[in-house]
Amino acid sequence: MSEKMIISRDAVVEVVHRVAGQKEGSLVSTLLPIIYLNWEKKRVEYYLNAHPQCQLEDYVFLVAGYYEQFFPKIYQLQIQRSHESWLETFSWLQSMAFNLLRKQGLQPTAETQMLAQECAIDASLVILRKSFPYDIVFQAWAMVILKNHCRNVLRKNFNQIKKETQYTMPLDENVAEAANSSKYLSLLEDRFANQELWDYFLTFLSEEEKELLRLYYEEKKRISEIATQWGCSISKVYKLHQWIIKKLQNLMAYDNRNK
Amino acid sequence: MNRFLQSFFSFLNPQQPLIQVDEGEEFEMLSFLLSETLNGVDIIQEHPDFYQHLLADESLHDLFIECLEVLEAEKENSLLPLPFPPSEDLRFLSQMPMPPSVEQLSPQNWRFEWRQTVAQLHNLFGLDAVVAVTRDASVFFEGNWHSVIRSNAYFMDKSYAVLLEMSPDTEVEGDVQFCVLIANITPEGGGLPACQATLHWGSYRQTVNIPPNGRICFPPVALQMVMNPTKDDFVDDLQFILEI
Repeated sequence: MSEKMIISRDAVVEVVHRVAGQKEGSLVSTLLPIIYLNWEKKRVEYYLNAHPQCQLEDYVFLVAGYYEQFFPKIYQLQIQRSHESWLETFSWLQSMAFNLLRKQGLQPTAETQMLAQECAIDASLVILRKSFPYDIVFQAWAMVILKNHCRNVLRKNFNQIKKETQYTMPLDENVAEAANSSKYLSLLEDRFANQELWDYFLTFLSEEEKELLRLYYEEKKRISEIATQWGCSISKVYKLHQWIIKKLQNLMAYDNRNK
Repeated sequence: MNRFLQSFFSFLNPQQPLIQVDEGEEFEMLSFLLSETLNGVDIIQEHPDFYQHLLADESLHDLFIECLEVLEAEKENSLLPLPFPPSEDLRFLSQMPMPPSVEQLSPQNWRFEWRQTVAQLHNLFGLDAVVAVTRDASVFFEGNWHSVIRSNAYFMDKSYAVLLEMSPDTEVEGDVQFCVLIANITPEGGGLPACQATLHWGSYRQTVNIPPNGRICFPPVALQMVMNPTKDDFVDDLQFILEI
């Protein structure tokens, strides 16, 4: 990461006043506490370090925008505790939890639905009292809370979480064999320095994996563009990318062990 | 070699140290990455350091992917349906603290008092969790901050959001810190009136003046002031008073 940006408390106050003045003066008293809290939780730094082209002012505008978008919902959930809003949110959480539990291998039974309800209640209690940071979308925020509680509920009920087998990465025999080849070893002496290594890596990958690397690293398409081109989800493309990285890391680890 | 290939090779064999992310901060990072992805941001390109952190922590990566998969399935209307209609039992909402008691001290002065009974505090955190937060903040995946009171105060046609949060003290291990945040949420806006907040819990009692920005922390609380000698229960209710 490039040089980390350090934001002072005074800078936050100054910029919030400036941005609120451009939008609506009364926003100062609303935005300032939110941004203070985010600043203390290092979210402001996260954002600015991840977006080097952005200034603190851009972050404040982002929070102001999300505040306008999500405050009514947060207000209904946390302050008014509106029955109608909670019914909708609770139903959404149960549905999401059920799908998350299914991904852990649980069957689509009434028992799983009961567990999903338990996850949704735990997550609701956190949503009820946790400060929404207004620098992300509500769904992402709620989803991570929910997923965490699903994990806890599974631990409580099953002692361990079932791992999806597709995430484990055994070293495949062909890769192991290839890793012993003198060509590979000589290439690693000049690790990462030439196109030849890239081409060599491709020889260990399936057609789909090669195609992803070609589209992403050679044609410089974005993950979302590749997903659209393939007619699949973005998550699938991210998964495949991680899979390739793990596969090649395993190859390198094998090589290091056998040197 | 172009920069895209360089970034690929850097994922394979990171030359620079990964960003330092405390376990307690991972929640912040993960929800942030998920939000960015939902907004169409390519996190491999735009957040290579965070992405590298995800690659290094397989369980975190899985968590990210599973959340993303379910949110994408929702967008595409391909979620698996619940076998039965969802529960509409919202009784859990009543587990949260009640609104404050309000007392008018003079025509211009009001006193709001929130009380968390020992039973409510157990319910809010789980007693084990409160002890644990002082020992190992990383057990809280959502981060190190816990809302103890989240409420509204209505005063002279104005509405104020009041938040009291607890976190481990950063300087003294075993102590906890409470911070208060007050914001004017009246639609027409406006600043904060002069006000002071008092936190009373066990033998701890401190009063602070609320600054114009609405945010201030109380001096740290030592656990022995609020827990019994064996540290297995609280000694008293928690009382938070706001005087305007």
